[in-house]
Amino acid sequence: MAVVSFDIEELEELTGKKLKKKVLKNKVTMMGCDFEGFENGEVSYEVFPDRPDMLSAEGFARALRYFLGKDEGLRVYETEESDIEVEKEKSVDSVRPYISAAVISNLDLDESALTSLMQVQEKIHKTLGRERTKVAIGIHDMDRVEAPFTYKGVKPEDVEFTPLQSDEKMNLREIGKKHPKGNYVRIIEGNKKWPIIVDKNNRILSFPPVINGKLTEVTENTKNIFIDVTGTDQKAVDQALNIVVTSLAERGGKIKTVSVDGVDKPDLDPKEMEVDLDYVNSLLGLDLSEKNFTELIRSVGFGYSDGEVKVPAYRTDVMHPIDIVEDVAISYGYENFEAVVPDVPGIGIPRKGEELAGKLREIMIGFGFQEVRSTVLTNKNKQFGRMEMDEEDVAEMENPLTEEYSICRKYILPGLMEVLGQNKHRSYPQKIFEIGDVIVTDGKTETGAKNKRKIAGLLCDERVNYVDMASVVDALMKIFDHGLELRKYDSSMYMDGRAGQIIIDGEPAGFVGEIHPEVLENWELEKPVVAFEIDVEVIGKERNQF
Amino acid sequence: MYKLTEEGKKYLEEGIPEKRLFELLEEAKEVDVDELSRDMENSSIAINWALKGGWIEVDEGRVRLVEEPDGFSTQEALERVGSDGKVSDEDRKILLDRNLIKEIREDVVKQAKKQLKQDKISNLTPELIKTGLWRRAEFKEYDTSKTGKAVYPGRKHILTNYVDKIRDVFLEMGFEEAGGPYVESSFWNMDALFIPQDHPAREMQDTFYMKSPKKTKLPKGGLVKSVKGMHEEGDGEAEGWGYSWMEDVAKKPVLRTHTTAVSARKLAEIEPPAKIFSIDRVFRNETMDYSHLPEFMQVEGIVVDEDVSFSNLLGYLKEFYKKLGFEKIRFRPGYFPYTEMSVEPEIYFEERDEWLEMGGAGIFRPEVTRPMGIDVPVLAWGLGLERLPMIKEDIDDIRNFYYENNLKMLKEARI
Repeated sequence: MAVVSFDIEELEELTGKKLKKKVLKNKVTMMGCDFEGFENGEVSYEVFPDRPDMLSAEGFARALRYFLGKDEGLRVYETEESDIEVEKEKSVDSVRPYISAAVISNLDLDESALTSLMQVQEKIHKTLGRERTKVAIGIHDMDRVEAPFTYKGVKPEDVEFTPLQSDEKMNLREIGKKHPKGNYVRIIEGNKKWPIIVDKNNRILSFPPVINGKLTEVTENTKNIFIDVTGTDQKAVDQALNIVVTSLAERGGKIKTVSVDGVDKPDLDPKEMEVDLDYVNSLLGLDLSEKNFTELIRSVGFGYSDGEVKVPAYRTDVMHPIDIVEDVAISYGYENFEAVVPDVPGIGIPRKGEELAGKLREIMIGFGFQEVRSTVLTNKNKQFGRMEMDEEDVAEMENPLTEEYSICRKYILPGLMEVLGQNKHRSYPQKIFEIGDVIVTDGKTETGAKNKRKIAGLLCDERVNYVDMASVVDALMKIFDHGLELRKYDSSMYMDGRAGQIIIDGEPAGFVGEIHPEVLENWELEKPVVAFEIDVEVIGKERNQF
Repeated sequence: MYKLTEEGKKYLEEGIPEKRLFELLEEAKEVDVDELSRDMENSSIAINWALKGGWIEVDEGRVRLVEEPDGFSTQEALERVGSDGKVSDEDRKILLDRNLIKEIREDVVKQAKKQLKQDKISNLTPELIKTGLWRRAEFKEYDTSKTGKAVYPGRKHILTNYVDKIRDVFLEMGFEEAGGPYVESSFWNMDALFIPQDHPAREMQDTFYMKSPKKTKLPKGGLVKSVKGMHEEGDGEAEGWGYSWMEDVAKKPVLRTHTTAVSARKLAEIEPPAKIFSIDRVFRNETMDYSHLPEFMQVEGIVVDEDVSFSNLLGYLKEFYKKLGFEKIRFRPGYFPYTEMSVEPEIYFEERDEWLEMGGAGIFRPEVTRPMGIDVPVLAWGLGLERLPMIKEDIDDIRNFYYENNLKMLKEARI
């Protein structure tokens, strides 16, 4: 999720339009971004991952100009050929194999332009760049170095340079240890050789994806920029380059191509995509003429002629005609669609087990029990430790944010005990129940675990005992026409001689009993509790509910 | 002690049936049996006792007085039953025989008498009622403006009310209800939905991966191959993501992050047309606060048919919320990797004078549906649930639903 802040005055300058807060808050979101807030003369939006071109102020303003009717039709970016070359050595193939580059000249960067440039770089790193693993961008003052450039792998101790945000010469390994951006070294750390970019005179411009050299630092005095984009995916690398250069072109910069191993970058020719008008109309539920369609698609920055849509170079998200259909819909305005329920045949069929759950719920409520919902997520201490039970196999997470929620429940009862703990100061008797799914690991299933529906209930008051709950279980079973047998059951969770294993029509289905005072103490409860937990699938078996 | 039965009381007041028959015959001499049963209560009892006494005869449906009876001993015995409940041995036999008196057990009488000794009696007891001694009792009067200690019925959880209501709405609209496992493969949760394997949504901070179980099985048949192909190079019409798709990544088990996994499974199974919904829990590895839980409910739906359109998607969403009582809805463009168009429906809440986002919806990308053999549009939505009751019931912390289960709140919730 990328939240980007723009200076409102700057947006106004770039769009050539006065932007009222109301428009920024409500209308602008209709072009496809979430409004986040205003602060210190800035407006923030969440830019969706499919529109990295809107991560820069220039790109956002470009989209805004179309959306507000200031612009229309395809924006074509001219490039000028240069004799600048980048040579890629084989030594980078195993670590970070792709590089693209471009030069922008004729720039007049002010402070806000620099800020915007840094912002788009950072946001692309985060999104399209997957925290720099897939794509990293380096921006350099072209006039401080001399082409041609070489992209190569070196041993981390073999070279040293002064990185940005530092005054000290360091080798690559030292940068990893000492520099504030050194943590990005993890991306390439596993390789013997680490990537660098050097100029004709072997001066280091950059150590991608970690840090640039101080040598080529971009300032307000920078007139010509050299951009390198490195990464692990050629397509993403090219997309990032296109977004950055077209952004700078919006500032009046001239784009010059750079030859990377003989291929000119960037390629800013509009992509052509065949789009069938019938497909557009049937998918949107509209009846657009070709003229309507052309107007709509042009007003969001595409070109169109003879059944072919021309996609501008910065729209890297278009990978199927349906992506163009969405732009037509946004251009048409979501608010202008008629919302029509079609006539699609179908019969309402409840899910197996839901009807039974409803009946069980009704009966428990009839007995005066309050339904609660506890979490599926829990931990071993609650499921087993506090219940004085031996640990069992459970579905367990690999990366829980907190130990508190690190496994999936196998029993509902501990969750109900927790509810009691949270309601100690409230009125008694407390009679609560829950019907819900637990997770049982099972190597025979497709996912290695399965959901299992259970019902559990408990009763807590000054004076309660085994029969208070056994009688409820008995009544439940009678209502569902099952023969109930209660077998003596020994468990440290229950008091000795005060628990029964519930056998339904010969099949073990759960337990009922008086909770052991040891367990009550574990939960810091001070009143006796009787409880039951039953496998709902056994109750529902004959009713074909499972 | 003895007490008149209901019948005994009636006879004492109106006279026993045979006495009333005699009084009637004294005047009319002769009556028709049918007429008699119409005009006189308990006429058959009267005829029986009169026949026993030998003072009438019944002939061809007519009752005739033969002689004057020599008194009515039952009537006399009834009149002799005193207010203290004492009955002579002879009377007792007659009256018990005809079920006109009943015996009140000594211990009951004793208890009732004991209760009577209290100065002012607080409770009306079965003993006082049985013995009739309540007549002599003086009862305390209550302050009837007081209701006493609060009592609570057993109730459904607030969320269940909403789940039930939503289920009804979908069933009524002809949707079939579906479900799926909480522990799901990455394949169904993500790959089948065309979410690339390096997508940020797959990262550890959003998705719970599993230590146990360790691995899932991928579905048999051609589906895995088609999904792989779509990710890697598309299918001619679609471009694909252009990376090398890995089976092992797809096999990683996760706690499902959305019920869209349920829809994905159904899509691989069904033939159009189909309308399917699901309401169940989903899991996100997020920090918990008043509006975020690592576990919450999602309302999922898909409509699969030849000619359905974006306009129809908006139609279903509008209709759904209308049926839940939310009339004001608007749609904003959104983004989800597996839908295009993507839309975020927003509901206007009067309580807050605010439009609030309800979740996501869209039309599944062809890259999602085509590997599953579906060549028609699939309208889909995944909506939030907890937000509705939170605003309607004015609950400011989502944790109240699951983590605290505030019993006072649950018991006292307004309907």
